[in-house]
Amino acid sequence: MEHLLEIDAISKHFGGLKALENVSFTMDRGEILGLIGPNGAGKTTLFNLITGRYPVTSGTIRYNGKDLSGMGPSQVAAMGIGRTFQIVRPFAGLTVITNVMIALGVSHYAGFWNSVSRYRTPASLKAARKILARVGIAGYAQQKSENLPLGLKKHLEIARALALRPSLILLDEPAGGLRKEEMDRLIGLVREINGEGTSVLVIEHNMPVVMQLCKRIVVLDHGTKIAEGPPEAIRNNRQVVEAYLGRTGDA
Amino acid sequence: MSAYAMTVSITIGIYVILAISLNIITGYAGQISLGHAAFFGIGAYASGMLATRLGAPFFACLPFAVVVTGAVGAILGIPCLRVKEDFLAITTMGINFVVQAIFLYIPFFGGALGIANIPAPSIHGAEMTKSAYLAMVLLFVLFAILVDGWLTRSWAGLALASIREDETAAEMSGVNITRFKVVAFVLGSAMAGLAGSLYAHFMSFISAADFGFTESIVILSMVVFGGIGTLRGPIIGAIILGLAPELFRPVLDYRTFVYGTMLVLLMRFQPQGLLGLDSFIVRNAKRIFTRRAA
Ligand SMILES: Nc1ncnc2c1ncn2[C@@H]1O[C@H](COP(=O)(O)OP(=O)(O)OP(=O)(O)O)[C@@H](O)[C@H]1O
Ligand SMILES: [Mg+2]
Repeated sequence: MEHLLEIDAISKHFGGLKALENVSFTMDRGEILGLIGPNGAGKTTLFNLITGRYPVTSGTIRYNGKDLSGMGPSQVAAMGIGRTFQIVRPFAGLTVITNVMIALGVSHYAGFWNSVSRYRTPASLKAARKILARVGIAGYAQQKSENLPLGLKKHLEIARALALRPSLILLDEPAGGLRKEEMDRLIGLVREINGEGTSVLVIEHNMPVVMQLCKRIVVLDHGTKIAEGPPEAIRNNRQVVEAYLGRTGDA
Repeated sequence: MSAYAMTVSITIGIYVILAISLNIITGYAGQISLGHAAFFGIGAYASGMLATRLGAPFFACLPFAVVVTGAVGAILGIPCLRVKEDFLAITTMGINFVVQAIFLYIPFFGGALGIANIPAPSIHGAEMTKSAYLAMVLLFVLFAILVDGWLTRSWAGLALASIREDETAAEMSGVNITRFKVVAFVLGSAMAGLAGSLYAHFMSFISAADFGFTESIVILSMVVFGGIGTLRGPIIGAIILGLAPELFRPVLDYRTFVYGTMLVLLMRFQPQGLLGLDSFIVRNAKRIFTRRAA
């Protein structure tokens, strides 16, 4: 059976800067795959390529065997790839439930009659509430999303990604900026979502979090893949250790 | 009702439609436009020219104006798709100047003389009275309100809100932002075209000077003053700012000064406008009502 996600010899250049250079790896269904690397390694750029935000310079990305090149972000989202952002970007002025509604609309934005139909139906409200309850923020449904604390904003972003009914979600530093308890809640949530059948590709700087969540890790440095394997092997990989110590002594 | 009061009411009705239409583009979809009068003008010219050159009846001219303006809105929307904020403001302003210059300098559009003798609508050969015209304008205001209400309750309206809030997050949530920006431009432009047609057949004479940048600012002031992003805001804004020059003559003479100053002050102290979400009045009204209920 084909892989869920296949990153095949991907390069991305911004002018002279090689943000990614000939990176390849695959991801299987049901997996939580970690993506780590020092600042500026190209991790977020890879997310932006997968989600169609930027075109690749060369290489192919296949999802369920389908080539994603030439697809825009909304098409990729409609195919079932959800994502969160390193710096959270909720629809700040809208309520929490409306944030989720927007992503639930993914199946309504295509046809004319579909998009002119009412969005507040008992069915859509029920679906949105269910997703909010799933990530544990049902009590905040009517709050303006900009008023949530960071931890809950991150839960909201996951809720919004789940509303796409994704088979793959991309999490960009989900634990970043969170306190210990918030972090534990979030890790628990990611595990549960994965247990329900959604594959997860997670960028994370916090090593204990990565080691807890992932059975397999891909390491990027300076735009190239320098290692891939289980947490134990990665921890003891000389190149990885040097990459971290060499650039940011405090990482 | 005096003829004068009717004239003022018709003018305000047309402004209400204009403010509602601009609010779709700028308030709901978050795409700033400083050139809305261009579409008002395109509608007026399309309607007036079809009537005077081909002798078409008003009830054919009006839908023609709506379709033409909507189509031009789609075409002129294209350069607006790739630019944001300040650049979009300048682009739309540029569109306004270009459209106005075309009306003024291309002989086909009547040049400096504009389009004269646009007939008033007639029903069964009898010319529509002023009160009938007012009733018709009010029906179209109602129509604009219904379209607006339908839009904000639809998935399309939700898509526009997501674009206004965060384009990147919107795309990643499955919203085709190009498509829905075009939807906003077309709908807003077409509605401005409707207002243009009503204006042309009411005034019977139109010229390029009626549709300049100043007029765009007047429409934008109404939207911002009343409360951008709501339906009640542009309606109230158009009524108050439409009435102000009638009640207080100096406002007419110094219109650009008064509106300009008002815009600056609003942006500084009350960007939500009079009745926008979270505006001073709405917040306090809510507080009073919740206290009563408690
Ligand atoms: N849109 C862009 N235009 C130009 N350069 C970019 C762009 N996006 C990213 N880069 C550059 O590409 C490189 C990789 O950036 P990226 O954001 O992918 O790193 P990262 O691994 O996510 O780092 P961090 O851990 O700090 O988030 C950086 O040098 C960055 O400045
Ligand atoms: Mg990053």
